[in-house]
Amino acid sequence: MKTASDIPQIHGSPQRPVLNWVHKAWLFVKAKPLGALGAVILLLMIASAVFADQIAARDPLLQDIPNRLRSPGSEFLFGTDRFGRDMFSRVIYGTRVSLYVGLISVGVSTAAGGLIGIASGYLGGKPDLLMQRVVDALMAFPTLVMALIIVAAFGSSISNVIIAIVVALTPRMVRISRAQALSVREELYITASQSIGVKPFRVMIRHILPNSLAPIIVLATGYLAEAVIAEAALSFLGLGVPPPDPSWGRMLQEGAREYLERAPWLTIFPGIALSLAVFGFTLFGDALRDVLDPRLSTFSGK
Amino acid sequence: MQRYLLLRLALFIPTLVIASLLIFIVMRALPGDVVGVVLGGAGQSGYDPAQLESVREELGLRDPLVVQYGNWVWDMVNGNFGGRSLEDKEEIRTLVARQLPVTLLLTVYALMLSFFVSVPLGVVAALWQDRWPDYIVRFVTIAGQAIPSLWAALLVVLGLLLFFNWSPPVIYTNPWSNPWNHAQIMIWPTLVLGWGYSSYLTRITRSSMLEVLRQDYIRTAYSKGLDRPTIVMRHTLRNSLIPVVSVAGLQVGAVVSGAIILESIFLIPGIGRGIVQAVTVRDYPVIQSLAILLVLIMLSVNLVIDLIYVLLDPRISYTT
Repeated sequence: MKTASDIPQIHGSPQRPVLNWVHKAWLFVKAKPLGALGAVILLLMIASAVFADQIAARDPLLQDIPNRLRSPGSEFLFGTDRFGRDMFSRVIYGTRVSLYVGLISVGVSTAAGGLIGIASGYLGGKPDLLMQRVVDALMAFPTLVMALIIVAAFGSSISNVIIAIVVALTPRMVRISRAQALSVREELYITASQSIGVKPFRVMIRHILPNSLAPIIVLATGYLAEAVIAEAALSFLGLGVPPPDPSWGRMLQEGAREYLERAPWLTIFPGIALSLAVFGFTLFGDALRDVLDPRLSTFSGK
Repeated sequence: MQRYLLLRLALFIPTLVIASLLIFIVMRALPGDVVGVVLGGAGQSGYDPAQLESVREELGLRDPLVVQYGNWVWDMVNGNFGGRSLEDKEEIRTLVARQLPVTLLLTVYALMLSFFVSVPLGVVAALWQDRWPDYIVRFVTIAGQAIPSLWAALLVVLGLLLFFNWSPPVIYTNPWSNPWNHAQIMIWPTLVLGWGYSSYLTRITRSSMLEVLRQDYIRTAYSKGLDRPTIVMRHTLRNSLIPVVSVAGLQVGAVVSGAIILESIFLIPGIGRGIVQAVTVRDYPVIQSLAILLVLIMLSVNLVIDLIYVLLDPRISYTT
C-alpha cells in the first residue's frame, strides 16, 4: 500500500495519497458498516445467480414424487415442495429471476427516465409542461395497479413483468432528473458553454448529464428493492413469472395456498431470501446516498 | 395560500383525466378479441359471426374509440361505473358499493395507525438518541422497511396458526353489523400495512426532530429556562413535522399496493382483491373501473396530505 511519502512532492506542499481501490473499499466499510453489509448481501446474491449451476446440487425443476414435502434436513437443506423439487435449488435459482427482472427494469427505466427528464428540464417550454402532466398521471398509479393493468392487457410473462415495472418507475426517474437538470441549468459553466455556441444536445450530454448523475444513481439503487418486491408480488398473485421458472413470489404462493401449516418451510425460505435482497438493496442504497449526495441524507436516519 | 389550494385542486382534474385515458388505451390494446372472452374461452374460433357481431354491438365495441371513452367516463361520473362484469354479469355499481368501503376502511385504518404511532416513536427515538429506546425503534423500523408486507402477512398467518391455533374469520362483515368479527379480520392486515408505512414515517420524524433540536432557537429556548416538555411540544415538534408531511405522500402508493396483496392473503373482499380476480379472468370493464378508483384513492389521500401540509406551514406557495 502506498503511503504519503511514496508520492512525489510537487511544489513542496503535502499531496493527498493516491488511494487504490482496496483502500477505498476499506474506508467505505469503516465509514458505513451497514452499507458494507448491504454490499456483501448484494455480492452474495450476484454470486448465487451467476454460479447457480455450481451451488445448487439438484435441478430446481426435477420432480421427485417419493420425496415430496420432505422437511429441511441434511439431505434437503430447505426441504422439498409438493412435487419433491429441492427448495434450496429453487431459492438459489430464484435469485436469478429476481436479479434479472430487477436489474433490467431498473436499468431501462433509469436510462429512459434520466434522458427524458434531462431533456424536458433543460429545454423547457410546452413539451416540458405536457411531460409534467403525463408524469403526474403516471405517478398517480400505485405500482401494483399499473402492473396489473399491463399484465391484464398483454398476459403474464417475464418480459411483461419487466415492462410493467419500467412503466411504474420511469416517471419517478423523469421527475428527479428533471429537477436536477433545472438546478444544474442555472450554473455558470452552462451559461459559459451556451455563450460560446455549444449546441443544446452537446450541453445536455457533456455537462448536464454528468452533473445530475449522483441522485439518479442513488435513486436507481433504491428502486432495485422496489422492482424485486413488485416482481415477487405479481408472481405471488399468479400474474407474474409463469411456471415452471422458480420465482420467490410464486414459491410463496405455492407454499402459502395449501401447505402453510403442513410445510411452513415452503413459505419461510423464499421469504427470507426476498427480505434479505430488499434489506441489502436498502442498506446499500442508503450508504451510497450518504457518500454520493450528502444533501439528500437529511432523512436517512443517522 | 388560497392560490396554492386552488392550483392544487385544479391540477387534480387533468391528472385524473390523463390517468383514465392511459387505462383506457392500455385496456384497448388487449391482444385477441374481448368478444371471445365474453362468449367463454379466449381465442376460440367457430362462433357464429352474427353472434359475435351482436355481442360487439351490445358492448359498444363498434363505436369509435372516442365515443367508447366518452361513454365510460360518463358512466363513471353518473355512478354506473361502466356497465356489467363480463364474468358473472353483476352490475359494476353494486360490486363497487360492496367492495369500495372495505378497501377504504383498510387504507384509512392503516394510515391513521401509522400517523398516531410514528410521530411519538420518532420523537422518543430522537430525544433518546443512541440509547436503548432509539436502538429499539431503529431496529423495528429497519425491519419494517426491509420485510415486504407480502411476507410479513404470511408470517403473521403462520404464527397465529402455529402458536395460537387460530386463524382470522373467513367471512367478512361490516363494522356496523358485526364489529367484533370485523375487528378480528381487519386487525392483522392493518398492523402489517401500518408497520411498513409507519416505519418510513418514524425514520423521517426521527431525523427531522434531530435536525430541529440542533437549531439555535431551541438552544435559546433552553437558555431562557423553558422546561423540556414545553420546548419539545411547542418549538420542536411542529417544525419537525413539516418535512414529515411533505414526504408522507410519496409512500401512499406502497400502502395501496400493499392493500391489494393483503386483501388477497387475508381474503378480504375489497377492490384490491376484486381487481386481481378480474385480471385473472380478463374482465376488462371491471379492471378499468376498479383501476381508476384505486388511482382516485391514491390521489385523494395525497390531496389530504397536501392540505395538512399547507395548514402546518404557512410559508408554502405554489411554484410550477
